[in-house]
Amino acid sequence: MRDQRFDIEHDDVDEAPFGANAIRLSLRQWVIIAMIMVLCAVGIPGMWSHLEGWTLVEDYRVPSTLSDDYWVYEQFADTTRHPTDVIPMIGDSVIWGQYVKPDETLSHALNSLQSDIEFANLGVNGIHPVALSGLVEHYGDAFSDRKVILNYNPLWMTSPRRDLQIGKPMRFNHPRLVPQFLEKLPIYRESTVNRMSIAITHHIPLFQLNTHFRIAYFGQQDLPAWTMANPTRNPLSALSLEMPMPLNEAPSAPIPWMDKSEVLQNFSWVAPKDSLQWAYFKRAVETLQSRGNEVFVLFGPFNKHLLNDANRAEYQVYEDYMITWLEEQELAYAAPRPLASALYADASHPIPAGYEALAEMLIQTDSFQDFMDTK
Amino acid sequence: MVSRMAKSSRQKMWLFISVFNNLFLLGFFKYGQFVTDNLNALLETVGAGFAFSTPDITLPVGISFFVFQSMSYTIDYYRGLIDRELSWLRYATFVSFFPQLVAGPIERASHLLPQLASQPRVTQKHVSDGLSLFVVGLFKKAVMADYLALYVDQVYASPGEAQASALLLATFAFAWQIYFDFSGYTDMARGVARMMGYDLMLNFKNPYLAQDLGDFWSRWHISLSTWFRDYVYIPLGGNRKGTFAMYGNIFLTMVISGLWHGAAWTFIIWGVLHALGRMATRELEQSEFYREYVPKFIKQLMVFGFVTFTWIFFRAADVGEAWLIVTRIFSTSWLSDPAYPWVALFMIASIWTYQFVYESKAKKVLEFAPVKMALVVIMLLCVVLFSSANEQAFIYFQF
Repeated sequence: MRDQRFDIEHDDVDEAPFGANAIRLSLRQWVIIAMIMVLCAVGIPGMWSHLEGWTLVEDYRVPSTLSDDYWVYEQFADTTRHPTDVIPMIGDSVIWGQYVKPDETLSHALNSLQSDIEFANLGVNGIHPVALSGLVEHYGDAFSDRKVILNYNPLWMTSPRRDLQIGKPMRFNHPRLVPQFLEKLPIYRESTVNRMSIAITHHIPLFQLNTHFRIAYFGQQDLPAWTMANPTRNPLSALSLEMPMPLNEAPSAPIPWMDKSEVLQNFSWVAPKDSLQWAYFKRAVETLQSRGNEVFVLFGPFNKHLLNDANRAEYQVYEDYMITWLEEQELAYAAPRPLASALYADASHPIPAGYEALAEMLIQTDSFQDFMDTK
Repeated sequence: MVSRMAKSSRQKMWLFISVFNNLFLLGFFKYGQFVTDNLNALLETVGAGFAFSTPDITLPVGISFFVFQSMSYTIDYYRGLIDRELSWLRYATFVSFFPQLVAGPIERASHLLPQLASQPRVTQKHVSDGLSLFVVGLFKKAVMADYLALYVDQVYASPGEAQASALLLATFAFAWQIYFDFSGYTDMARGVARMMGYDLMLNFKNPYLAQDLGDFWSRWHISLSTWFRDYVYIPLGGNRKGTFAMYGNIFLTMVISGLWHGAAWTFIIWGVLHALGRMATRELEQSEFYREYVPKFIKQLMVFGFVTFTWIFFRAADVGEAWLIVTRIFSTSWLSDPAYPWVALFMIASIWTYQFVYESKAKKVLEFAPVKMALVVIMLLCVVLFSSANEQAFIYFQF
């Protein structure tokens, strides 16, 4: 390949000075650096988790301000790994408890009614099934080979917007958990670099920890921006080294829906066969099952009282369709009848008394009893 | 084509055509709007009653760099310093070699073309060296430059509202931002090239440790300053025609250098200031007292202070804004809280100290393998922790 017209070879060209203040390492040293970085990527988050003192706390739920801090979610999920008789309840704000305090949630109500099994509130405020599928895939390893309860809230099918089927980019909850490359969501617009960054973060605990710092300690800002806002503060002083605890309050007042508005709704339902949310819910089920989970699906309870007659009839068709799928899959499930109208705060969220009623209904359901009884 | 010409005048003609072609391209794309704007302003002043329409020209990425690289090939060949390159593909690769296409270093044909003549043999050393360069560059850009940009952009966005303390620190921060940004790009470009088996020239050599302006330009954007030295300053006569002519040549070279950076009066003033500074430090160096008795550290601080001052004109949007900043620095409070992050100050101080140590007798400490490896780990962790949502384009991409 040598060009005869040049009387010097490639390697004969004088090498430029390497650098002015170079940190020049050999390949062997780079290999050692790579090993140190792998240790840091895994070890520092593990150490940090230990420093924050993560333990299973009664009625714990991920603080609403940390809903998108999936590192916190993963640490909490990890605390439920032992003892093994803790059953994680996974879902959106219906499980999490938008209108109730931490000790008024469904998991609390179930724990109050029996003492054999402990239920843990692993709901995430505002998470929709598409994101939930990502949450289970990337941050749900702690659930492997266990019983889990997975909630499905049909609310996410009540409009093309909620079903993420709008053809133009719009803001929606938990965008970091939706598929970044393999499937395209028209509603989701993000640069390729950011998508790569998000996808990599799911797999590197150190990056997740960095996101945790940003959300939990630096007021949703990255470190550079935080130091700009707090120029004289030492960033280390902002790190509290304590397990973040939820506030003992309900984010929204538990007022029955009809006290706020008596207007019946006429939702623009997306049929399950066309619904992204339903499709991703099914995927979440498959992911859990592939990890050896025994899955119990809690369907609803959706507030049918709030629908007008025509809309209720339309919904019933869709509900039947989805229940049929659960049966075809031979999944353990419960689709409790709607609670009393006054026990709903809105289309899907019960108020404290509603959760108590729901827990009682569940306990009396055969499929739920069977699920709890199996080893 | 130039080589086929037997007569010197024909060689000159082809050289002229080649240089004219390059400069025309550069002038059209980069200075078309600037010339038109200034011409229109002049016409308005004299009441001509008409104006040229301002061209809306998209600047080709990296034009200032590849035009200079192309010109250096032609001139060096004309001077008989290099062989003719017959392969168009190889020549095109030399001009548009992707790692350094957009922001240099501006390579010479004598250095890069021979490397393109044969397949590079990529060795373990190439890979490790390339990684070493790349990681330092990444740290400079992603951690330091983008971080400092937050403060600089904030203050320079509304300099009329900032006090002297903030303006001083923003200018100080910009001095480091542009160094980290540009030298970071160069390091990454050199690292990528090195991993492919190619060697690109050194472009920065601790410029903020320079002891006079001449020294500064032998450490800052070395590929550009040597280009101007070889193709402008020396052809103008260099220092061969007496002190007065030499200063004239320095002045002209620095003004052209300023204009190269951008089509705006701020860059011309920046070039003029550097020319004046270079003359002044050269005169100072003639004095025995300055040479022998003024401590090196003081000289370094003076040069850094002067260079930092000139960056005001480089960073400001226009001459009016630059003047506003200069006047506010001397007319408003130096003691008001600049809200400058201590973390940034600490990081700059650490790096500056590192550079001082590297150029001192204590350098060996920094060459100790565990120290180097610890520094790399710290840099990589900083890249993770300081990675900002505020991603900034490289400053020199605009040139």
